[in-house]
Amino acid sequence: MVESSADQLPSQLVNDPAWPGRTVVDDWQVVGSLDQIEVDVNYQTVLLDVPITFNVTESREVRAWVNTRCGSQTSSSASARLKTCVQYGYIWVSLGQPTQNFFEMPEYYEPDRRNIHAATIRVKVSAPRAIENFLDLAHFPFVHPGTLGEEPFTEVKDYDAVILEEGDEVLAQKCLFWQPNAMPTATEGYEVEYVYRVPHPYCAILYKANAIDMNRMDVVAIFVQPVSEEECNANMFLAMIDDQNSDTAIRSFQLMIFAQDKPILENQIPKRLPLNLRAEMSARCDALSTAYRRWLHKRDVRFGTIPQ
Amino acid sequence: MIKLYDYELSGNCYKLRLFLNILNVDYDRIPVDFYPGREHKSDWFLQINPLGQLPVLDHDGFVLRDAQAILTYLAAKFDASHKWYPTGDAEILGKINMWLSFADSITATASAARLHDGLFYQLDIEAARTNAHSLFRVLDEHLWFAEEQRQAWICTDKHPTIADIACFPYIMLSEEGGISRMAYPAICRWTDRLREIPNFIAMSGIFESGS
Amino acid sequence: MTSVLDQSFRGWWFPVVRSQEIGLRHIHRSQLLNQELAIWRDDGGQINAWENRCPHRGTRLSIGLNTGAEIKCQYHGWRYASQSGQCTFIPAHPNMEPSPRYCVNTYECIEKYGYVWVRLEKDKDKDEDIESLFVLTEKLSLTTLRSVYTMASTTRIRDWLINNCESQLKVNSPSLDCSLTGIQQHHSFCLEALSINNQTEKSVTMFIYLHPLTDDATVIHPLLNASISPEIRLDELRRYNRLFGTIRDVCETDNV
Repeated sequence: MVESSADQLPSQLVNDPAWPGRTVVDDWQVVGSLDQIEVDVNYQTVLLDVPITFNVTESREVRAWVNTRCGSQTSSSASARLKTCVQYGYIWVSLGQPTQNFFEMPEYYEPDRRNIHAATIRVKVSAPRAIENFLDLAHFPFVHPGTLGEEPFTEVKDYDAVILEEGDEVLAQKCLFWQPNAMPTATEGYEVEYVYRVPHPYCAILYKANAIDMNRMDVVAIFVQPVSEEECNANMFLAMIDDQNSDTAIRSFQLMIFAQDKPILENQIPKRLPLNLRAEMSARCDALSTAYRRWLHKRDVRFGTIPQ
Repeated sequence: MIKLYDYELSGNCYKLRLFLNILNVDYDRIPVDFYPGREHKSDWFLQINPLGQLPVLDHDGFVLRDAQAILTYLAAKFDASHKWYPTGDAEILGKINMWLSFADSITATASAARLHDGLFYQLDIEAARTNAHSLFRVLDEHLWFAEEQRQAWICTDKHPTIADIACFPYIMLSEEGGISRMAYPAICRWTDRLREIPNFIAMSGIFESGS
Repeated sequence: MTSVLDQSFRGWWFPVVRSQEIGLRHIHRSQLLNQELAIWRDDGGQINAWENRCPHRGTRLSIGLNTGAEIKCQYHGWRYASQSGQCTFIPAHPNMEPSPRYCVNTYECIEKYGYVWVRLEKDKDKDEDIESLFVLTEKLSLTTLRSVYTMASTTRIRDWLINNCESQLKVNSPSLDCSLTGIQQHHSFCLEALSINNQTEKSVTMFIYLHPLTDDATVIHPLLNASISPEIRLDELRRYNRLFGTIRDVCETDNV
């Protein structure tokens, strides 16, 4: 009985037209970092408003299931299990039937990079608001003064932002911004080039020129777990070319940056991201944010957004 | 030399960084990875502070834990004006220590709520928020009547004391624990004044202006 | 029971904060009928009551900076001019003149009787002068007391004041040294009462304004129709604060 109700809950939701998670139900969603997981311990979380439990076995097999009404039960029935996978050091769960291939992030496999999970932080804002903030250059001098920006170097030069048809992702290139202390490796201010990718409604990756080797790009990514429509867990990931700083130093730099964004995010009204482009005023510097909103609209992403 | 065992996102560490900066005292930061690393519970750190809590100050081998205790030490040691902790004035000293203990209560409630909401700590969140609101109510009323008597600070008229520094961080960070400050306008005016203190510095989560 | 959400109340004037609490370079965060407000004064003394939301990316303006002439948003540094709410500068495009459509939503506000008064909408049918909010027409000598934030609906507080206050206040708090009597309602958000000092048996008229923040939170703004001499001012303020603190505590406990 317990197992069948666990089995039924996602399909009930999928068919419920009022559930905003319906249109992203098949997508892989991040629920945690493998770094932070102890083997054979049950972890409770909420994904797209659905309470779930997951654990990881010794052999790195991930098992996840929807909590039943009588609490979380370990389900031995394979049919009650949710689809899971491990990718880029994180645990991903789909509440439906994943069809698409996982998005590409080839830098993860480059041997001279250090892949680091910085932290998971709960933020009281929708996942799309958190992603949009990650894609924004113009806030650097005001929210990250002394590191990612500094007044009066506030200008955002025009850059290219496009929705790629074939890859089904948003891409922005030639984003130039003056930064006083762009990375833990940086020793002086310089104009940094950024490339941004949004390959998933709740995941974004940025590439920025390495402070030591200008020909290589460091990778910083944010994988956001949509918990409720107005809460999310932000996972910060880095793939760095850096043989100088400790993991702790890299982690704490990233954490300091994100902790500066957090009060901004939690003071945005409304907490969900409006997809009607007239709901909030935009300027040229917001080309990527506007492209992201268009793309979410095109994909009919409703969870964490205010649809047009 | 002063060493501060420090975590950027800790309000209790920040109040020492803030006060050291105000006093213009040089120090070295020794970062402790509180989250996600839980380094404050590691063997090496427990040797320094068996309570496994940040911050800890090491001044040429003299080791002190507890943010409020360290504030009193720093003031007595480095504040030549004796205004931040007037050791010669029994009444003010008594008041300051009363509010330092109040600051500890803010940590136990507002800071706990923030750890719950942001960093997944398991605790009774409703109790933490309710008790924080009760404390904020007391402080708001106190500050409102202080203003009526042209008293700008928690214990004193013109010059702030370490009581102001001690109470400030976790009040400013309270909204991260789901504790709105909208109902405490006198507190908001006091936090404005505090950020005007010469050599004020912010931390991640606290802006240099705004309510 | 009328909900404070009743749209018609958006055309009413409400006191939202004591004037003297809006100092220079401060931004006061408030709410009225569920609408969040950022209230601030420019260096020329002019008062502003704005929607607490940057039109660019929705950031609360109350976490921003009052420069004395403008509010600077904390997120992207966009600046909005006092009175008009018009955007004057977009740092990401320093050479661009901001379009007139980049504008904060502003509300009508005035300062009178020691308070900042705000209304969210112009009421076509009831464009009364603010003076008519007061029933007394003679010259008033007023003292604004400490406003008391209460986690209870305006309806709950009003009903308790009208129906229960006189009989229950002494029972609830026997140590109070003052009481209220003759409570009458001028309109949904304004009561008048006689405040009696239990020791001196002197009585003073007072107005009690109820400022609905949300459906279940209210600010009580007590306004004394008398001046207080400086030597007893602090004691009197404390006395009234205890009185309204007691009323708050009673109204916050569940209505059985």
